[in-house]
Amino acid sequence: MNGKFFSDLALQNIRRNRQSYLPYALSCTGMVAIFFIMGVLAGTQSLHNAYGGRTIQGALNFGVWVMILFAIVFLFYTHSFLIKRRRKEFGLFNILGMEKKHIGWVLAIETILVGVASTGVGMLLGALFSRLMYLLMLKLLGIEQIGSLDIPSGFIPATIMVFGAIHLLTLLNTLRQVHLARPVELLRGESLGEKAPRARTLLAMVGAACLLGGYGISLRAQSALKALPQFFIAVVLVIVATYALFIAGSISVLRMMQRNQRFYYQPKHFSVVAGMRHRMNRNAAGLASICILSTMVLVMVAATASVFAGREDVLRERYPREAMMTLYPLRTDEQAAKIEAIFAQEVQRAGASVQDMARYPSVSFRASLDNGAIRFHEDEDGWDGLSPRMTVELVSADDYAAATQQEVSLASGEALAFTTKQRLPETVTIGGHTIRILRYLDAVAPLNNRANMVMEYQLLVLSPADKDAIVQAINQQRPEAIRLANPLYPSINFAFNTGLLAPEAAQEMMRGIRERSSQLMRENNDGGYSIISNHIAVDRTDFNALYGGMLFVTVFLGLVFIMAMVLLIYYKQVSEGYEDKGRFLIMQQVGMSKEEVKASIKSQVLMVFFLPLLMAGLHLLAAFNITSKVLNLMMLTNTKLLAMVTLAAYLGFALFYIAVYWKTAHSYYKIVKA
Amino acid sequence: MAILDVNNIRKVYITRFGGNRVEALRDINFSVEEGEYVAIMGESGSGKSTLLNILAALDQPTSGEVLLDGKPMGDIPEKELAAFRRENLGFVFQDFNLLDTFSIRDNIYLPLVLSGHVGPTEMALRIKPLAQRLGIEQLLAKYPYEVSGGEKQRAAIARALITGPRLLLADEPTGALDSRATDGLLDIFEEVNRQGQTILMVTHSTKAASHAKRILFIKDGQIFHQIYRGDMSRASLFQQIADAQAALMTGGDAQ
Repeated sequence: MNGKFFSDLALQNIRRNRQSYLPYALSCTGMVAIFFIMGVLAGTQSLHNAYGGRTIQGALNFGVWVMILFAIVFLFYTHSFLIKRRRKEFGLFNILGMEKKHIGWVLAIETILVGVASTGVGMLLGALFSRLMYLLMLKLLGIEQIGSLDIPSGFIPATIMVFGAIHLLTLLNTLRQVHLARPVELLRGESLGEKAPRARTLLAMVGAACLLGGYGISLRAQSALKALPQFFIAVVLVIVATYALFIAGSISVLRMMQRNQRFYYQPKHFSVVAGMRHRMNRNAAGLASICILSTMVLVMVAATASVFAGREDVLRERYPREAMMTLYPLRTDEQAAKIEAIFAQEVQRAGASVQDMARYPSVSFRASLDNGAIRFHEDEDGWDGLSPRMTVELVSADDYAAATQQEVSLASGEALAFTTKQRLPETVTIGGHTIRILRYLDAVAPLNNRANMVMEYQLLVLSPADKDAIVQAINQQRPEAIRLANPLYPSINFAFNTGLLAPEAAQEMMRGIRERSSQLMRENNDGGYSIISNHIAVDRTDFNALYGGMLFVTVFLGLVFIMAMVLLIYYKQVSEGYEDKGRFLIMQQVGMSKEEVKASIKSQVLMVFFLPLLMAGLHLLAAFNITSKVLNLMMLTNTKLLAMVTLAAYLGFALFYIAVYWKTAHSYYKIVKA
Repeated sequence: MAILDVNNIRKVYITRFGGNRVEALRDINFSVEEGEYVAIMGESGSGKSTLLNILAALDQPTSGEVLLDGKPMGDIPEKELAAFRRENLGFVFQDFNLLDTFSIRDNIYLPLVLSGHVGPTEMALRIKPLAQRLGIEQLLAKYPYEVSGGEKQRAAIARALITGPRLLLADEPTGALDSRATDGLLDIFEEVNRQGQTILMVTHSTKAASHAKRILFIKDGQIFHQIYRGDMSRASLFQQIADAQAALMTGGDAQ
């Protein structure tokens, strides 16, 4: 009989508090659904077997873990908000004679009801939509249909366990709160813990400094390689700055406005400024969270979407010809001819033919730039550990002209250069020769075998005589033992088309080429040799899998973040509504007309809700430079594409945000008017 | 000359469901002279809050009219009502109704700022003697939730008086105060009234009413009885009020 009483009471409580319970349950459901979809795709056997599928599943797996962490933090936080609103209710139960034990029972039943319903419905939705997502993913990634989606065994219990644990955690926290409080305290409920809004100038200044620092790092970022660690520093700085500025900076600014009496004591400013100060005092942390969440979603989505959209450009730039191969060392020209013959045979065996063959020798070595001098190093030897390291590749003007079919004539001491990274000074010394760089080339296709390295890289085109002299001079500088055992031989580079599109066939063909040329190299070289070979079709699949996987994960996580944000906004509106209800009345009694009150409150609510959106826009703008530099690492150099995708993402997000605002503002006005 | 004339006020509510008509006030007639201190007494549900809302122009009577300085309030256009209220009426409420977004000083400034034609210097000049008189000079920079109930009510009185209103309307001003704060507040009202401020107070506290110069009793929406203090002592006035209340409750005929 008791059980029936408690469960009836629990049901009633949920029904009575549906205004705050329903959004919570809905976001639980949404999180379960997205967790389920990601988890199924990450674990399904059919995707695992597909080419590139494992790369996608790796990204999805990472996403699943991020999702779990986020769900714990977020549901915990929102649930405590939910309970805070109900403290009065618990106090009343307590005073009416229910023991805390009984209240605990009721709360446990409520949690179970909400948990079971949201997890069940969420899994159902997840199972439904994972099929759709699966097909969408295959389509987007260009994978042929590879058997239907199976739900990995043990995944359903795993989902139940994860969300069961989260609900248990929130329940324990609630019980702790109820248990610790005395009934009178519970009855006083929400109005507990009000503090006078004091300005914290120091925190505001720290915030401003962090913001300048973060923005500065982002705006001044130059090198792609350094950008990545800098990016994380900038992110941390901007997060700190956002919290500090929302919490302390806003109050400081408003206080300054209040100090300016001529400004403050005007009907238009008076209640808005004071009201804003009060609101910011209470909501700053939540608003800062919304701002950071939205910035993260936008940066992530914009970056991955533009990488995904630009993947074919990246591939095209990286592969001026479909297949590329570099072999080292090249001792005789005869060797090169033999290798070319291997290509012809193997390509034919794959049912295609070699076209547009470009072949050029080059000498490349590791070096560092020290005061305008390029110094050669055997691996790490003799490097001071500080001066920038790079790979230098020397090509003679004749070979360059033959491969690119462009006329070049260089006098002695002159050079053309190419890099995707930082440029050299105009005059450099190398192997005792001083050379002047006439100009930097925009592109060197098809001499791209090394051009897309992550490392700093310089390609120098020299007159044939200069090239030979420099190679010889560098070789002479090396210790004799090493020089004799391992002379600085040139490499031979090939780039050609085959017309082959299928990744499996291309991979098979490249394997054949590699095996046979390995054999040849082994026969002709006592020492080591190396072969680097790539084919666009293989990389395209890898690219699709990696970037497509990343895109899926960011879109999923973005959805979760946005869902979280909507819930935050909704709760914010509701709690503001309850607070403003009282204020609304008083202001009218004190002599403000209804319209004035409405206008004042409306402008405050608008400011509070659009502050995070505006700030997120500012963050996004500041982050643009460093984001594009980080994307350079992934070979995406199309800044315009990134700019357009970012703008589109921001506009789309803003529209969505405004829609959420209108929808939740409706419940706000309903509360205020009641 | 009468500041306030209340002529044949009648207020009928129609309940939302079922359309039942509830008569909250009927045949209310009285006037308040300049410099008077009038208390309106009645139990909860007697209609006194409705009456006060009508006097404050927050609500309209179903029939009858209220004249302030001979001008009917019903003629004031909706748009000018807020300004009218601000300039002519001061309010003191049971639960103080201070805004927690403002400091005590800004709460007091509120009606002046809203009127838009008093500068900061003038406001500072006006608040000084007022705060001194009410003993809240030290609290001006604090926020409402940092001060006691009695102090809040004194701040609310300062807010009501700073515009120099024709009429001070008080709704159960002692309702949320302890006995010491109640005494303090009633002394302040008497003092303010002695300096010429007209006060109309709604209350059901016998003690509060015993400070007024005239007491109107309201029951079931009708004025039922009235007592003039004249030169009666406070103690005998208190006794008379208590008797009238007893009669009111037992349903006997006074007058």
